[in-house]
Amino acid sequence: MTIEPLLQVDHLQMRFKNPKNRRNTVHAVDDVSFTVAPGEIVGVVGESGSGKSTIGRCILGLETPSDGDIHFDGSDLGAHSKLRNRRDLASRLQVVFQDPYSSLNPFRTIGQTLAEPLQALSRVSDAQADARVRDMLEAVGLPREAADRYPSQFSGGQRQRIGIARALIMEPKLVICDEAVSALDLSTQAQILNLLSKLAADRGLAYIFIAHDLDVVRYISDRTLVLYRGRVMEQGASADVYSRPLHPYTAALHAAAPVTDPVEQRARRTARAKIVRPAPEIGPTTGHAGCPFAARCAFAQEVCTTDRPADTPVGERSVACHMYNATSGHTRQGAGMSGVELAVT
Amino acid sequence: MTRARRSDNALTRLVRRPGAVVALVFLALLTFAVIFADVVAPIDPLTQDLARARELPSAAHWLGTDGFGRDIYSRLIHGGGSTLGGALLAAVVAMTIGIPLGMLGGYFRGWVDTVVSRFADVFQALPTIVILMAVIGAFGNNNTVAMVALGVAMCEGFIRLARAMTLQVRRELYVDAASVAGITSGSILVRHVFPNIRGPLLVQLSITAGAALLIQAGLGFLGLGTPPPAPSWGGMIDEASDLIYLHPWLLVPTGAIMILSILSFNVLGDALASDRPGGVLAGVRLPWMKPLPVAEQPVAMSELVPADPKAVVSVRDLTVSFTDRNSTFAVVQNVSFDVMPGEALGIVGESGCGKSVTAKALLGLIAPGGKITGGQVTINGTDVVGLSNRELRKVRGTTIALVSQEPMVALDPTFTIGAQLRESIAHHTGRKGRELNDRALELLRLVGMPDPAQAAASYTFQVSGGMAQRAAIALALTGEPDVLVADEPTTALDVTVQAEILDLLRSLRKDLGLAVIIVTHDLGVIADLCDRAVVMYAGQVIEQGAVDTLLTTPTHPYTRALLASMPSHAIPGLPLDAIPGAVPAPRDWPEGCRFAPRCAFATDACRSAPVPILAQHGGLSRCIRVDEVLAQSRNRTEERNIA
Repeated sequence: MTIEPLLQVDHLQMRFKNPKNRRNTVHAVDDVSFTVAPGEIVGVVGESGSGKSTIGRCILGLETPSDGDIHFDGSDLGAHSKLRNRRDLASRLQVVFQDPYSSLNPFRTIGQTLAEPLQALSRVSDAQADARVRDMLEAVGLPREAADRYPSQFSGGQRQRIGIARALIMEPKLVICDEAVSALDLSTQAQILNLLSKLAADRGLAYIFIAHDLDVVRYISDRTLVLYRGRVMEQGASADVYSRPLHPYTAALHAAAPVTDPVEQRARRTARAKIVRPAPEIGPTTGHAGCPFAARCAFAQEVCTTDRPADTPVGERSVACHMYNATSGHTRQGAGMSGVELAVT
Repeated sequence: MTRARRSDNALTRLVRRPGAVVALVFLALLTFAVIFADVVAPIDPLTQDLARARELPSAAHWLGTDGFGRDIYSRLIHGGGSTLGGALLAAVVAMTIGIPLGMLGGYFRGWVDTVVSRFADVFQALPTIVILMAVIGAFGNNNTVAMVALGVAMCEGFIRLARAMTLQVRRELYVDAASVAGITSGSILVRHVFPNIRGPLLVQLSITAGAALLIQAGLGFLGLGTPPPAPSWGGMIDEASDLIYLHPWLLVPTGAIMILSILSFNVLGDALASDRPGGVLAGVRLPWMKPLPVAEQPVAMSELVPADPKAVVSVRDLTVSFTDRNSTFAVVQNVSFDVMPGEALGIVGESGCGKSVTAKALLGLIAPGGKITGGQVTINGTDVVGLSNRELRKVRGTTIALVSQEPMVALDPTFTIGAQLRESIAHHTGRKGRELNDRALELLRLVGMPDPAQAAASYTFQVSGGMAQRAAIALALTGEPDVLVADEPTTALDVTVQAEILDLLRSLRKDLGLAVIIVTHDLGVIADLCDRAVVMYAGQVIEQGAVDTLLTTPTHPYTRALLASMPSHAIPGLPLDAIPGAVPAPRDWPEGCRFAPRCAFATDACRSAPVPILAQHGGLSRCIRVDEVLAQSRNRTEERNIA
């Protein structure tokens, strides 16, 4: 049985041209395809410059993609005019941003901020809007009186709760969480993660959970996409991606995240040395051809710098690495998988 | 958190600023006097009395008389209408044209922006005084027409400022959020952009009003604008300037009122510009008000850390306090620790716990308003507390150096990395010429730059964040320090780059015998790099010990809770063990154990009195329920093993 996906992204491209040098085009998002089912939490993990936030902004209509299709809940996000599109979508697609300090207008009370989309999109009376705002604040763990205060009177964690309330007040089907917990302290991060999980379960929400922390993504999401320099290196069920990384980059990401057990951490450090070469000198990678991770990959061969690896299915997962493609010409055929796994465990 | 007051509006916030109140009262009185000039100054400003010309102030003529024996006070008040009113008219006209145009250009960009910018260019290119002469030539000597023309000519400043500010604000996330919520562009401009660019525009308004006042007076001085004998401030200055050597007093009243008016506009503009709703305004502290008491001093910690002559850094009962309008409060209290040569010590805790303040205090770097109010910091045998800046400079760099969170901020973008290294090497070691360059390249090689020569020739904006942090570490090493203080050195970096920087710090410890004090909120970083760790909460050390035991069997509930809230320890599908609440602000620190309000183990005994830090279970812990904490940890481990 296949469920109609809530969101379908096909061959999304986002190129930024350098006006001074035509050849120096940056592929911020390079042929990215994925789907999100209703109620599903999809994690998008990657480092800075991986294009993870740009994907989110393209879906939200804050950036116009260079190429590719986005279908969300029956609407083609490329076909409509921008304004009609947004008004129509605002009640179904929402966002929680990273920075709790710049995501709230300091001159408007929390009540005004939360009521704004309600009053703009549906005809509700002031009293009704106020009641819904206060209910929503309660749902995210804030007092009802918070509606009368200004953003500067709240801590970072509380502001993030307000950001979540603003996203959920329209009862959307999909929320894009763009580094929603990255700027928070550890203890606050845990509170917000718990809140997001609970709200998703209670309301049947789907999330695209964008983060740079593999641990956070593994914890909250059902499926994970691993991005590097605009490309999907690997995607699959979060538990699998985390415990048995297929792509050397995923393994490198996993091994680089320090754990708190000093003994285990020493083991991770040794593992990392086996999969990653020292960082290459500054500057862009091999270019559009080849694998973007080739320059740092301990398994890289000539084919990795010349040919673009195709998305290869491995069981339920998919990985863009020559080692998993029998016809690629990489000599570590098949053996690559155990190699990466060995290095991590 | 402060309780919200419904009366939190711009006016009530404004009257809490004494300067603004004085300016507001002055301008209000002046406006009142000018409007009701006939009542306030009943003497006719045009009546001449040549017998009583150029008199000093008297009961009949409060500010004296001018060259024709006319009452100066009366002329000032009656002339204020054309000068003050004209200046305000010009400023309001400039604002009304400039702000909407600038906002439209900045928000929509594209062709709208081009048109708006060219419009502004035209007015900038035309000299204001020429426009005014042309207008006066065409419409006659009419003050109102001249001032409207002046306003149009001055709108360019508002256009540029509004445009630049809008360009900035439209990138804010709340504008994105409103756009995602389907709010129209017009509403976004009015509700989200305008309030946030209002401050600088108000300053521009006050500057424009002041400038217009001067220009209006200048026109009067030239005999334009307000035709004599009608009074105007500019005309009065013109008349007074003829007699400046014989009767200097004539210039004083007019000059004073002009200076005070312009000053008031500026003070008011500044006050409105820095206005923010909901801010915690402490109000004014007057000399007779007593400062609020400092939070209860905890038990001294120094006896617990035995003196060790080998230590390269030795901190005893370090206390750092800050003073604001209302009170003096400690943000770091009685912190004690030692660092051995080549050792790595981690200082860990959430934001607002004082870890960064502690680390920077070792270098004598404390933010304005703060100072070290107690304790000793001994670095290589020298107590640095109380040293002058000059003496501190000798210690900084050569004995103890700092690497900060933002390498891009630590390095100067206008010089190459090599030039900055050479300058610092020359300063610290006195090397010259070729030796300088050789040493710079050697340092860059030491910090793992793959191509030291290329790195030396690069500017900071040409290299990645990780490379910039390596360069910043090289810069810190130029004075060959014994201790490196690294304040969140990897927080801004990607996790794979973080691993490389931690590797680098490890190799520097091994190769140079460098002691490292690293401040971080990531317990994984501590596990990776450090031998010992200091856990801080609300300005105090709450646990201290060897990393291997501290991270595997924590004795303080806070350390334990921090470990439990890490996502790497989370099991998907089960809620994370979050710590409820947040770190309180220094003013709200509880009297008893500061972690008690958030602690699962807290009892009445914890809350009633400050908890001392004690040597227990192989480390130091500020908890009276260590045994219960350890017992529960053991049970948990057993449960997990069974599962």
